[in-house]
Amino acid sequence: MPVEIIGEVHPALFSELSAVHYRGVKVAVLNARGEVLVNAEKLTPPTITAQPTILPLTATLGDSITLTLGAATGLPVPVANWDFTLNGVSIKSRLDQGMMTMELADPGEYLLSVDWTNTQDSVRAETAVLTVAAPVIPVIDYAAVTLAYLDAASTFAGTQTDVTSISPIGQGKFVFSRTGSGNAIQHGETGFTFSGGYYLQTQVLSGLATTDGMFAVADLTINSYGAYSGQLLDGTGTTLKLRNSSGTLQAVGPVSGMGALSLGATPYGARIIISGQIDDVLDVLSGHDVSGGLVSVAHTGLTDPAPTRFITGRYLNGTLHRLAIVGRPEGQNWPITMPEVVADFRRGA
Amino acid sequence: MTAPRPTVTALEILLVYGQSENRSSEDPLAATLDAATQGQIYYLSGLLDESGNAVGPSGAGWSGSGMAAINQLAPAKGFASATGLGRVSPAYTLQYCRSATWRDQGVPDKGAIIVDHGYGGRYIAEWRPDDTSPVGRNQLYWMRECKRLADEFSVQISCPYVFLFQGSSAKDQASSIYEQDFRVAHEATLAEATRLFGRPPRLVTVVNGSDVDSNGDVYATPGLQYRLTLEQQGIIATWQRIYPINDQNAHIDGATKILIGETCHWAITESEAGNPWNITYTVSKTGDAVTVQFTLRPGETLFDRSDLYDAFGGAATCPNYGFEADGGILAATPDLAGNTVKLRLANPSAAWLRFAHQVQDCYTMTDATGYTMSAHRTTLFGSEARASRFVTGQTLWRALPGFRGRFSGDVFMAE
Repeated sequence: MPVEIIGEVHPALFSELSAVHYRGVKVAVLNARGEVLVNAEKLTPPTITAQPTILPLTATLGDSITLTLGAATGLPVPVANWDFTLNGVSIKSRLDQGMMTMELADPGEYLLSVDWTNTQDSVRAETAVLTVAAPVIPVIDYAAVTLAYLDAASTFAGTQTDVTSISPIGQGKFVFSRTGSGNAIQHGETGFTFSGGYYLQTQVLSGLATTDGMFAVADLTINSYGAYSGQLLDGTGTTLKLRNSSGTLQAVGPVSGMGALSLGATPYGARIIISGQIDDVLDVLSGHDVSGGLVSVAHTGLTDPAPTRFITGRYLNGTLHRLAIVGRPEGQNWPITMPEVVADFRRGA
Repeated sequence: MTAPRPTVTALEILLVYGQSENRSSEDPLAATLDAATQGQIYYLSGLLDESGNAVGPSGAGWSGSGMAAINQLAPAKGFASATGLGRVSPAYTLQYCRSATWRDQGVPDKGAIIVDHGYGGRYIAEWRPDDTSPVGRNQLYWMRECKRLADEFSVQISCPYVFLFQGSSAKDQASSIYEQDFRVAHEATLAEATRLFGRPPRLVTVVNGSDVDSNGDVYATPGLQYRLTLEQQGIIATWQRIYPINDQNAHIDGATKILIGETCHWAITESEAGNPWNITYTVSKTGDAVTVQFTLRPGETLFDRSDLYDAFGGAATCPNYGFEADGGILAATPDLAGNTVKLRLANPSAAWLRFAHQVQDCYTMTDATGYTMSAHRTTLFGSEARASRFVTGQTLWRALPGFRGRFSGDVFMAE
């Protein structure tokens, strides 16, 4: 509503007047005849001069981001009305206290929307978008990359106190069946426990994809030495074996006379992860010892590993927590490497 | 759940006061760190927060309404391998570097346990055990669990350092508040570490830097952290202000996090070898003549990285090598064969002097990749530098201490 001055005012009062502001806006002053003494400033709607941003553009989970609302001009000076959302839910309150920063704790779509408003109009800026992907947790698909993988969750037949067979996952479709005599194989929360009696062996195997190599990784606890060398993984055919031989853990290759690779003294009662590998491309026998170190030795004369049966748990007093057996098909890469499986075993399951 | 054991025979932990600057980022360079420390890096596994979520190397983090607390009734279960974690942070890198060095020295059976209980936007008060935030209590519990499990596994464990890389949240906080909170938090941390490990860890500091616009901010933290670290007989490893910023605010990318971690490792290595590391300064004044002397390493001189800000606003953002004085500076002359800078003041009665402590807005001064640099600037450095081991083509530098203070007559009194 215009301000009206009633009464006479000498024109000299306005002679040096260049601007009159009313509530922050430059307004016009007119005389009684409607003649302009001082010009008004033209009111303008908001014009966006800088768009909002969420930086850095490459932010991922755990990074801190910085929001900027951008800028706009107009008369009166535009005010920013903004919101910051994650998957459509406002998270303005999660910004660091008094700051326009925040650590990214959740995946999803982050949007920074800004409306610039004055008396003339309201204009929406381009919404800044940051899409944060969920963390990629390296997961080994044991069913796909192993010939056999078993752990405490594996399917088994019999009872908790008398396991008669185990059906591990894996491409080999193995079935480890009870054989021998004596103390039963038991199933518990952490795996399968052998007590020097019954042990497990697979069906007769043929044509396994192992002719360029194979490896096995075992996570186990050996409580005491058995009647003979403990067969952590054994079998028939041209194959790899893991043994507890008189208190020394060994990886044994199939070539006669090439010796066994020591994986260290058996730490009875301790949970350990060991591995063994025969590589037909390099003619090398290798493995991870009880301290986690990678050890290897030449295994000259190795020809096309071809297991015809696997055995586990014979002469063993202890618990097999996890076991993975992996083959390398002729002329192909390993479907997964031994260090990758060892690392995954170390991370736990 | 497997109870993973470490395959090393000795482990080291690092306590951390950190916020966003020290948080880990995904970065492909993590694989390079992994390769240099095969089987040596672990994190404590089995911890849960009070909602039952697993607590990993990034700590308990955010719960949805505040910082999550670790459930202190849930014991840790083992030391899981951090191989393949894929993330880098300054503190992580420091520990990877130490482990890589042990391996280089023929001691690959010694490793480290990584963690960061901090989070973006944290205040140093949150490390106080009596604070409402659980951050400090999380760290203390984590430390106790590391010790308990290591003892259980008959693995040696030590805690020689505590890392301070925190303070952005305090940029407008009074120095006295930060100092009081730091002292309470640090004393509690030292006390628990001493109880567990027999000796207090030594403070290693990355002095907090200004963001790209220092207008209107207090920024008492740089001078205070410098003073506190010296008082604690700690190591001033480096200064955040010398590193490029990737969000036009204050944050750094993965490669820079590695460079900072590597520089911290360099500082610790030199200190452990009995060599001097900390760069301190003195200011003397006679009338309009001021001499600033920096304590450098034997044989080291001042070095001018004159092109440092070419892509970030240029020389106009850093006149007089970063020195400013009440009334102006007529001349600033560094002795690049020595360790002093001579200043000639426009006003012999100048009330104040500051170095690398400008009040300016560098927000729009980005290079071609959108990076910028802190508003606190100087091109002067110590001359000793070395190539980064993990970031190809990058160099580790020794930053000079920034400062500000007042003159009382000819006597300079630093903040």
